[in-house]
Amino acid sequence: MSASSYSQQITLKGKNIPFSAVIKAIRQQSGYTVFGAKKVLESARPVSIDVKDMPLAQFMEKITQDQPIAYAIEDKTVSLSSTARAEPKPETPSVGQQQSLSGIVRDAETRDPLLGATIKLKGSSMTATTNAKGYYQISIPPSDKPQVLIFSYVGMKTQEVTYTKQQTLNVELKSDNDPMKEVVVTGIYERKKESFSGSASTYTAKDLKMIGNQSILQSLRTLDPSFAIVDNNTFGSDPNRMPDIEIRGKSSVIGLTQQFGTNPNQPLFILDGFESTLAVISDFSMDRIESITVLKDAAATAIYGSKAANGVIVVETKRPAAGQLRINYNLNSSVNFADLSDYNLMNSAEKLEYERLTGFFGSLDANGNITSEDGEARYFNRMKEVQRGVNTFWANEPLRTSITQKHTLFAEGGDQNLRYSASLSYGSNQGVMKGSSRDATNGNVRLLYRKGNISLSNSLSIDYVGSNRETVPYSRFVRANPYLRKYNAFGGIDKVVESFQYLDITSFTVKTLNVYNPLYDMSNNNVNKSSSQGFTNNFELEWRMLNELRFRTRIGVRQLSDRSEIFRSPFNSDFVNVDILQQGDYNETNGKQTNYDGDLSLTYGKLFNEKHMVNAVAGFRMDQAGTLMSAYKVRGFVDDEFSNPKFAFGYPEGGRADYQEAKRRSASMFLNTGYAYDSRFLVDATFRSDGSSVYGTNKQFTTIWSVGLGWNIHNESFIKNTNLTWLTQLKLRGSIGNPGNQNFSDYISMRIYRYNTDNRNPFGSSVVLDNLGNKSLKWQKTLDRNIGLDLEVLDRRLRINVDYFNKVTDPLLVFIGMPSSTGTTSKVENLGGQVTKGFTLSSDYAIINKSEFNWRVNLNMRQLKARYQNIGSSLDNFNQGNKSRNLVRYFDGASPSDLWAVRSLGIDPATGREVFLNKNNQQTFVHNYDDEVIVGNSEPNVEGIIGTSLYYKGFSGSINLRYRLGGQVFMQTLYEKVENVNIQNITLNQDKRALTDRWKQPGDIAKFKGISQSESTPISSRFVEDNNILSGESISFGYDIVGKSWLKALGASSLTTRAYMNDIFRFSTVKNERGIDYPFARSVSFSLGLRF
Amino acid sequence: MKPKNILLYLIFICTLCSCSKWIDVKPTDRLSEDMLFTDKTGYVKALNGVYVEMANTSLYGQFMTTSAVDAMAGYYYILGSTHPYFDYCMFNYTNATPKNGFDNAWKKAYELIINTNVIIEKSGNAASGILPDPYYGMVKGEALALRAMIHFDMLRLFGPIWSEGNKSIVCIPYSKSSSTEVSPLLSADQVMNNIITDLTDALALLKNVDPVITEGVRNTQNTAGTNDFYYRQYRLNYYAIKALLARASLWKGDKATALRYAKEVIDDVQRPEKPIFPFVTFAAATNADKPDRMFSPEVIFSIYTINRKTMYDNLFAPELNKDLRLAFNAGNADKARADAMYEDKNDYRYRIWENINVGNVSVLTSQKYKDVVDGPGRYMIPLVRLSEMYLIAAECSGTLAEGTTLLNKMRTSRNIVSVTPLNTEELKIAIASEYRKEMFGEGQLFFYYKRNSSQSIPNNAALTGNKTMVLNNYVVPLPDSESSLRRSTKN
Repeated sequence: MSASSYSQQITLKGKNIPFSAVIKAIRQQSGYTVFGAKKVLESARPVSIDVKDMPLAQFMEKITQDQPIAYAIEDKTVSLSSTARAEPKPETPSVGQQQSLSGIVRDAETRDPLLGATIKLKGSSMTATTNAKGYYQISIPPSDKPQVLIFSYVGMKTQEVTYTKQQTLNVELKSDNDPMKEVVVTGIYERKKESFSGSASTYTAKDLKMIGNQSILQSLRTLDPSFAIVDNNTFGSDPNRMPDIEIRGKSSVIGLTQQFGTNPNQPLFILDGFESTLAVISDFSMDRIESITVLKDAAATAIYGSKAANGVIVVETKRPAAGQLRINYNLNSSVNFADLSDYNLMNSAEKLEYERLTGFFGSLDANGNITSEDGEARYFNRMKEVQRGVNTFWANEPLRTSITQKHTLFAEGGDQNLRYSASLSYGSNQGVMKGSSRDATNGNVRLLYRKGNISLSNSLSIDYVGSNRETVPYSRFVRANPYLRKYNAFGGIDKVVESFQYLDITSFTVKTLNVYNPLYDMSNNNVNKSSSQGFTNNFELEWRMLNELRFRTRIGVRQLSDRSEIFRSPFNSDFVNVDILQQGDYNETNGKQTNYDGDLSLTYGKLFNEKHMVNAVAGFRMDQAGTLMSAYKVRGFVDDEFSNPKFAFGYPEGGRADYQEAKRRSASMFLNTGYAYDSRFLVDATFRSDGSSVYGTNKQFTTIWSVGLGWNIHNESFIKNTNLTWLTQLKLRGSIGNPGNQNFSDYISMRIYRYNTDNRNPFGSSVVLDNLGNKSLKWQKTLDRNIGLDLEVLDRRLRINVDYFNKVTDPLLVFIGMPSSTGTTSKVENLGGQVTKGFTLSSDYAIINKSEFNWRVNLNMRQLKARYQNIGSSLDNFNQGNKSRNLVRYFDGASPSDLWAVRSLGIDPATGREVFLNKNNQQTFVHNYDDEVIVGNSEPNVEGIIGTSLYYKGFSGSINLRYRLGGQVFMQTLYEKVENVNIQNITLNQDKRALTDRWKQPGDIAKFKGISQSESTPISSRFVEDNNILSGESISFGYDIVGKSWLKALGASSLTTRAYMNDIFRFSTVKNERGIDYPFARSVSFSLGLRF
Repeated sequence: MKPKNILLYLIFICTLCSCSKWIDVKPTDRLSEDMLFTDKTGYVKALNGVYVEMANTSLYGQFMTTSAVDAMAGYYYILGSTHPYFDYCMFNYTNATPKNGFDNAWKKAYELIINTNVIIEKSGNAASGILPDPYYGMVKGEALALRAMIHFDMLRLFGPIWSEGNKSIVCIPYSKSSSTEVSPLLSADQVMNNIITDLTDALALLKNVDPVITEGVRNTQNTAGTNDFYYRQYRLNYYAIKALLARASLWKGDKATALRYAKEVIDDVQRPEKPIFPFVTFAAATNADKPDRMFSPEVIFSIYTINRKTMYDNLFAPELNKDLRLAFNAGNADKARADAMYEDKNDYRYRIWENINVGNVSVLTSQKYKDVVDGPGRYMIPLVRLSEMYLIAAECSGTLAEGTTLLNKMRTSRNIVSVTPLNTEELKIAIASEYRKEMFGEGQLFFYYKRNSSQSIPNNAALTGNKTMVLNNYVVPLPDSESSLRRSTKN
């Protein structure tokens, strides 16, 4: 008896080998699992055989041909069963000769041969598998009945072909539409979706690319109603600004991000099993992704314990597939242009008229003429320019039509034992503002080695991100006056475009005001750039100890170095009137993050008696995150030719180098069990004990738990027996658990001393308290309850998923104000709570559902309602601070998104003054913050996507529109650029409505105060408006070409192309400027995929 | 079980056990409390932290000594409303600048108090292995005394003018807690009792361990080790605590006790055979190169700040813009104010006033804190000095004769002729005049006027003469950072 190394070919020689020994040989040589009932194995006769490198299927055929045994090869498993009862032995070949059939099985999409596809003769034990070239051969016993062959392959749709006595049969298998959707990947364990009671949704790269090609996060936002990107009105489409992301709303007190240093509402990102960062995921190439899973409720997230309260996003990258070397190339490119449709700026004539009416040039007489001679002269000076046709649209000056591109090259291959993949991606993302860009390069090598029960995997990534930021904020251009010229008579750029004197009413002195040209600062050599280099290595070892028991350990190392440089030219207008030795400055910051992760786990999964499915995972994780930061600043430059810090005069007076080092660690143990009875009743339970260095020594460990229940009604006999074939899935789910939140700054619980470096004395070193800490700080946890329903009816034409959730965060971690005699002015405390309720719905319906023609419509929807509880007056200090700044207040029973303001009845037509309504519903001219009530809510009633998609042969198209219904918005533009234009700001350009919609004379029914009133107006309900939106979030069309001859000439096997329009239009019921410091962008994109 | 499995389980169990150790992270760029208080050096560092931080400009490094509090005492000639200290000498406490200044002083004071509270709590009730004697007595004693002293200055600033009627007025909290819990506002009387208790306890703790009693101030580097028990002048030593007790007792009108403590200090530290705080010598005070403008040998307690020159440059330097300087005139050579203040021109203290040429202009400058390289007391800002003990003793002595003797002893040490007040009233005027001359740049004069409910103080708007003082102006309102968040406990 001899045996070669693992392969799918068997070599065996011997006479009368006991059947058990044959099975052992199969196990040893192929690495396949062989099992069968004891009775079956005992019934087998010894085998005499002499074969060399015989394919497994053929071998099985041979050893079972005279036996009462049938076999099936599937997924590395050979199962043996008795044929005695199931099927009588085929008749002796008296009817005819045994036929042989051969052919090649290919992937329909790529036309690559498939290795290890299974071919089975329906109703018999005849099977065969394909070799590396996709070739198979199968013997077909003669029969007078019609015979059907079943072709199957993992991840492909099983195909049945009727045998018509042909000699060859080539088959192309189509990929199963969403193979990943059948499995929930949590990064720690995987579970069949049908037997999982948690709320999670999975998307493939294909789904993401259907929406857009620019960012995973942008696509996810369209696909999943629970996933939201908070609109950033200040930074618009800035490529270097990371979005604020929320899954199912907020679990922490908002508005306090600064205090915590990190965004406490950000979800946890898991990349290939390890924690990752928003920036990495945001820059990640879509073409490397296998699947993204959004874990939403406690049953799904509790395995991540104290970091899971905001939901978890699990990203799995493509694993290399075996086979010959294959190369994929993807190009994603887009053309972006700024969206200025919400800007409503005055032109030069309007602006000048506005200035005149405000009394900027002096008061007006009865005929509307300027009384002051000086003022009149200035007015006519400007008028001359207007008449000459000067009408500069400054807002366009810093903008450009930008092009972004991302190239991804992916190669994979290998054999059964060793597989490899290598990818290289480069993305260049230009912002729509000149000078802003973000370039990301990533290289990844992945190796997978498998031998027997052990498999090893290693993934190494190198990242480089370089970014440049614009140096002049967009708002400076928007605010420049249209009657000023960009260039002087010689075509050059002047620093000062206008200079005039005015009388300052407060000090009764004449002051000179210079208006600087924003183009001048932009033309100076200003630098604001940063770069980062990352290195990630993840190693994984898996040991299949028993068929149902696996041991896995993973070790991850991640290191990120970043450096940022900011150089401000000494010629900038900021430095006018600054001492010459202090003009211009240079800041450099260097950071380094080093993270280590490790986990060990044991996974058990077994089906008992074909009814009791038991799954369990137990293990622990440890991690350490270290950060190091150092920075310095120099100032005083004579020139901006070089931004070299060496050319500076020196350090700022008393300036010192900055240096910070922080380390946080956590350790956790977890146990997750799932039990399914007959695929009908499901129970999932998770326990996790979490320890973190962030929390007080008294509370270092905490326990997180969750329980989920599910009921697959469609598997019930009363459904099955009543022939309700139109019902393919009806599942009810419910879960409860208490995941926690750790997104808070380090050491908040500790009493920390710092060295005093400001001063010294003869007594040596000195330390003072830096952070008083709160030793009894408790972990912030969220009691998360969820009820969900999954429905698929009408032959899967209609799919609906609904989740209703109720999250209670109690206590919250908040900074409360303290009387300063406590030694501190604020203190972090466990206090109050926040309740968030809401639902998400996603549904789609196939209007036409044919194999080559498919037309679907889809609708998703989200509603969120939140309120505070038990916070008392502890956050009054924030309420005080927010008055006159915004409309956010913290009160018991109120929602975090409520807008608080004094009610306004509008402008009194007689006087032009605002009339308020006080708490007792009395009219008054007096604005009093005590009269504030809720005048709106920035959260919409419902928000979501309505869309449609169409496939016809190789063509596909989709339209997804975002709608937002209900909810209000604070009209910043009205507040700042229509009213509240003080005397200095009259010199800046304003919203057109400052001219048209303001009260001018008695009897005017106007929405805004008298045009000549420049004193500040407090925020009132007048500045709150209903905000309903419809926007074209994604429109895309694509065409897939497979196996065309001209492609072959290129050496390619398939070509995928797709064109997109993202955010191409936007209708809103309000006109409010968006993208204050960086405009929003519309984009038209194109993607191309080539497979060789 | 296979060996491989056993190994695996061992790893598993070991890791489980080390979990709590693993997450016990010690920061590397700062010290956690648990790391710090592991041996006596940690206590010493924490205690020294309080002394160093006291020199912060928002407290004794400037605000409480040379700038705001002295401006309130009417030392300086300030006319323009744009002068940074104008609002202080006009007592416009609700204007932004003073509001901010008092707020910072208050915050810093209570920050330091919680530092002392942690040290006191960590010191325990007796010497221990971690904190053995004499360190226990020194660390805990000084921390107690610091806590009392800072509270006392907050009381003197924000509390009422002491009187039988006023002493029950609720004014400031007395914080003894190391946690951030809110301490209630106490009456002036209760605060004083706490101060006296803390000082008395401190005195007892230092009595047997403070080398100042036996060895003197030892203003030299310890060649054999650390300076923990050296430079006692820059620490709240045994005599400084006694002096503070005298000061505090007088504040609460307990003249007998004040006299007792003041006399004890005088007797102890000026024994001819072993003077601990001797009067400045003629040679030192009049040295041409390195004059001792601090009269450093007689300073019982002072802070040590290497940033004193910065303070001088920001407040007094003749090069400063006249609208920003703390000056005795409108930015010229006029000496009228100084001449009126020092009736005897032989006074050592008069010597700080000199006209210094800047460009073509001669500017009268206070050089008390001028940086003299290697000069005596170069980094010193005095907070308790021996002359105050003479003045307290003179004020509290039962008889005119004894009072006059004590006052003249002090005057003699300043190189000026003796006075013969005819009655206690005249003696009191003479004492007040000495306070003004003696405590310049030390922040004590305002509190002297406040203690005496003086309704007339030097006029900031004229070169000489006094202005009327409204008594309410002696009481600074609590900063907003305190009062606005105290709503629940306000009574």
